[in-house]
Amino acid sequence: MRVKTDAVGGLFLLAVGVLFLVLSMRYEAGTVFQMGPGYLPRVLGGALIVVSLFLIAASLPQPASMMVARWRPMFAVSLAVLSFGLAIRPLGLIPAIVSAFFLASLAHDGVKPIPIILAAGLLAIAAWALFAVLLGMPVPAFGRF
Amino acid sequence: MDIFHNLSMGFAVAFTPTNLMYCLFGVTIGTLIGVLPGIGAIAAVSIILPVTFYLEPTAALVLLAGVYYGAEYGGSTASILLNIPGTTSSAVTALDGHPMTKKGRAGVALFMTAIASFFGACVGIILLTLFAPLLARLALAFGPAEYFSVIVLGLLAAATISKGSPMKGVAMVILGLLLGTVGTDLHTGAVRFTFGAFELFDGISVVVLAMGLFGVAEVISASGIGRGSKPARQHVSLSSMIPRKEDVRVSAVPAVRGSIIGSIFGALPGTGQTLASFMSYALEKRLSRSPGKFGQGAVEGIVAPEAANNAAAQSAFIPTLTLGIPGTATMALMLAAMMIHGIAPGPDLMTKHAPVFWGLIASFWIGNFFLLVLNIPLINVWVRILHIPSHFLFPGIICLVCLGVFSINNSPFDVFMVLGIGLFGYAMRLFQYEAAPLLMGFVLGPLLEQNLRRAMLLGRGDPMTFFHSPISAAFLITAFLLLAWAIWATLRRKGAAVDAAV
Repeated sequence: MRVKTDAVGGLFLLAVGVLFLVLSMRYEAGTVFQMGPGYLPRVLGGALIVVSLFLIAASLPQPASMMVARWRPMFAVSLAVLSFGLAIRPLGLIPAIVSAFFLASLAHDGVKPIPIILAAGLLAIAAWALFAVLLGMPVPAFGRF
Repeated sequence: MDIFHNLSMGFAVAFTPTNLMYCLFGVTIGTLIGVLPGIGAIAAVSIILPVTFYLEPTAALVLLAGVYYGAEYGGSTASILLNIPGTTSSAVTALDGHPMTKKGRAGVALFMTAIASFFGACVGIILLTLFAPLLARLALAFGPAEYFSVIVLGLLAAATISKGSPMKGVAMVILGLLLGTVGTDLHTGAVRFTFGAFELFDGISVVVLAMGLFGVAEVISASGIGRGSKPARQHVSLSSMIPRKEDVRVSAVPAVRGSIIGSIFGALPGTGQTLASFMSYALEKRLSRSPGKFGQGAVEGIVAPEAANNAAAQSAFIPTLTLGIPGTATMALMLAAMMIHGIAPGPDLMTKHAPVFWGLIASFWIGNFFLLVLNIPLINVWVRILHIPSHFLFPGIICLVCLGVFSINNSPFDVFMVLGIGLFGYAMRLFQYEAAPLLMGFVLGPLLEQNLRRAMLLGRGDPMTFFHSPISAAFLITAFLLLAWAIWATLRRKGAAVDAAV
């Protein structure tokens, strides 16, 4: 994808700045003497807007450049973390780690499943020993908690 | 002879079996993570941080600090053997370290960097021991106005001097400050930016933020790269590590210069290890009678930057411990860790928590001795670890990140949060924004707001109060100059100081 990387990044930050500024209007600003909870967020939100406008303006004379998003690792890692979060409560530590490990390994080409599952199992047992047995984290190897 | 009294107290604390064990554990993990390309000291410290919640404060800090400076030793190993920097501050070591490997002198390069690292660290610790009490005494006179100004200066320095475009750094600092306001406002009790999620009432967890930005985002951008290029099995024999007389002779002075540069850059706001190592390399090249040797495997070219980045790693504790103002993102994370353990760094740390402070410093000495052993006789352990295929390594790191984040509150919410922040961090990486200034802004944000409010109360709402004290005025004027430079440099499309140094 050939885009003006800096311009896109600047627009993204501009949106974040506007979001914070709009949301901070809900909180009382107070006065300079006695600042309310909304004072600093408004100043910072405004500052972020100014800086991102500056960055967008500075990017205009620049040539467009290639922006290469690495979709495969992004999806693999996202699914891995998501599966961990979904599995840990109902299924326990070992299923959560094995599924996260397996899904994260899909970021790489040509990976053989058997060694991955073995490594995942070993790591899961080691992690259970460290966190649950040694450090006393209240999480079972298998099952709901 | 206060220092000797204090140090002996410190060693008494550091030499207890538990603290010795955590020190050894810390530097081992640090070396391990430093050796592995793709993940650096920030990821290492944030992965270990949740584990330390179960420890008492001194042991926790000894462990975390060990991870941090241990990573600095490990970083050079990958630079020398594979030409891939293990940490950003050891990138410059690859310039001459890898040519040495090609000439069959990998052993000498590893030996000389370990010795130089140790030497640099020693200089850094000595300066820390001497200057920390002085700076702490000075800082006792700091009021809210001075603190506000020094935080502003520290943040702007971190944003503008580090890698990448300076104005992008400023934008990231502001975003970090905004994220730092999420949660309950301590002054008024108002709840800000939580979207009704009670998990956010205490704010975003620094562990979740750091792991998302430096764990998840880094794994996404490093996964799947370099497959097929399986490095040849290497073995470093002890006899191949013995340097020639010539190597030692040409290294002595560069090691001293590197340590001095490193100590200064480490203690200054915003500069840190990476800039220190680049600067000392550039200086050696300029001072050398035969600059053509550099890049071809000159020993000076690895000794000076390694002495510099390890000296900087230690002297970075000076402002963090005495002022409570970290100079780099890694130090900001250390500061956050200390606050989690109920130890607020600042001028009264040395008096209120004397055993913790001096115990920590004593543990630096012990840790560096451990590191010497880990990096010379045991070097082959790390060489072998370097050859773990990344399709085992990165999934393992992802699992540790998930587990660590989950263990904070036993809550899946934090796991989903780390994913969201990780994806955000990856997007910012694609737009070529550095995450380090964001983390600094996040950690220092609450301190900035607190001191701003106090200063305004004391100054009856007059903004000129920041210019009434000469210290505060000097900090703020320096900060404005940095900002002006950043704007000018962005318009001229000039790189940061780091790019200029190479």
